[in-house]
Amino acid sequence: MTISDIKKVLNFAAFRPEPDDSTEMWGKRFPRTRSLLINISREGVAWSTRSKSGDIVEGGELQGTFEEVAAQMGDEWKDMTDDGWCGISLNTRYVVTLETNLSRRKGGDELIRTNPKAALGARAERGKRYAVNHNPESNTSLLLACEGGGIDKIEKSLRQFELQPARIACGAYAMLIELTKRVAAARRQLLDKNPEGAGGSVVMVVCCRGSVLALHQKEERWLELRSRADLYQGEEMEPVLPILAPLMESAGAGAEILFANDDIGSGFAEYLQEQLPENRVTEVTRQNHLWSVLTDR
Amino acid sequence: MEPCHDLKTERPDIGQPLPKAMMLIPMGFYLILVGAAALNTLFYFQYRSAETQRLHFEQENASQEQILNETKKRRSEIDLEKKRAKDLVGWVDGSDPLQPVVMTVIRSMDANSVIEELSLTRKPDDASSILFGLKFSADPPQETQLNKTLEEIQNKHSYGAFYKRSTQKGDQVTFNCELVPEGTRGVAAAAAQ
Repeated sequence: MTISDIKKVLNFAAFRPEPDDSTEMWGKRFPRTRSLLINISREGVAWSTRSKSGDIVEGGELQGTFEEVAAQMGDEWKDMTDDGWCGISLNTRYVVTLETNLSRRKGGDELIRTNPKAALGARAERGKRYAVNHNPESNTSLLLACEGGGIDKIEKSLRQFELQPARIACGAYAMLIELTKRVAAARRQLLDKNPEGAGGSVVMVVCCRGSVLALHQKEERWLELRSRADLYQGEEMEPVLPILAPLMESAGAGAEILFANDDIGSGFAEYLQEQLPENRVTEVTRQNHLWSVLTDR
Repeated sequence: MEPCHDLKTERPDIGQPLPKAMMLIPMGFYLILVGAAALNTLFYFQYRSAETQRLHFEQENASQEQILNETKKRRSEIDLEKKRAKDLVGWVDGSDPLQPVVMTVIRSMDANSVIEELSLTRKPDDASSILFGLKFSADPPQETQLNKTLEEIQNKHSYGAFYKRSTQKGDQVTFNCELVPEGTRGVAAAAAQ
């Protein structure tokens, strides 16, 4: 037992999960500590700070690759976090696919991270890292694949500035998973009230810092997925509409659209409603949506 | 709610947090610290109070000692005074039977005779006898004055003079004898022999 172990017991840190224990919620891993949140897109890097009270404090944004921005901002980033821990939202170099009949054995989610070959079999590609989310009501799953080399580079760049990744996630994918869970919870509530009243189609649209994910769900089934990274820049979200067009065609008139953006104030939901008057668009974006999802809020 | 997915390189040795029940250990530690601090504070204030009381009692003790000493001093003075008074009472009581003898000696003196020293002391082994000492000056012959005085004593008080010793220096005579009551003269004479 070292002095640091005794110190951890005395400041109760030994009774909390370790900061890089990805199976625990962010709030439990970093109670009353500031942490840095970074979003990486192809065009640039945005960052914010999660304060000790858990609020998101405004950060900044710079154009350029992550390495370039990190070289410029590394020291400043270090000052924005108490222990050097940061959460990364990766919105480039990823692929989200809709898969069927993936293994749902206990511990499968952990296995897909540590040994994707064992979990995915022939679907697994060498050098990629995976995350999966299963539809609880059907045999479909959303599978995220990311370039492992890109993640290694990010981790290496962070280490240069004494920063450590507490979580590297795909922001758009995480936002879509949150939406699917909200839809599933809403369906459960409707089914409890009326067993036949939870039908219809829902199209979940997630826009996150240039990336778009759209998932068509009909009744309990996930039918179709559209995924495009680095599609638009800034608030110019018009390029999203052509991506949604085939999905809306198959969903048909009357399908509800559930829209979430990385932050409030984009105005895209209103634009979407104008363009698709036959569909009801509901925006569920909340302030600092991306950062909230990244920190399990 | 579940935690968000994570793609970072996993550290293989991530440990589980300690059981919540073991939080009692640091909590106990802090409770002991707080208790010790509280006790320390309490003891400090008690020590301060005791110190103040000690100083107060020391001052009180000193003042009481002073009063006691003064009282003792006064008492010893009173005792001395009392002893003196007792001695005086004893002397008065003891000299009461001798006072007429003294008066007789004084009255027996002629106009030119002067008593320089007169002593009457009871014999320790015979309270009825008196050791008589007289130092006087008188016109010659001084035996006349001495005989007159002894005669007066014998006539008025029935004391006979024995063991007479006298010395003369100029007109000053120093005379000593033993005055014995006449009833016991035979015994005294026998004892003198």
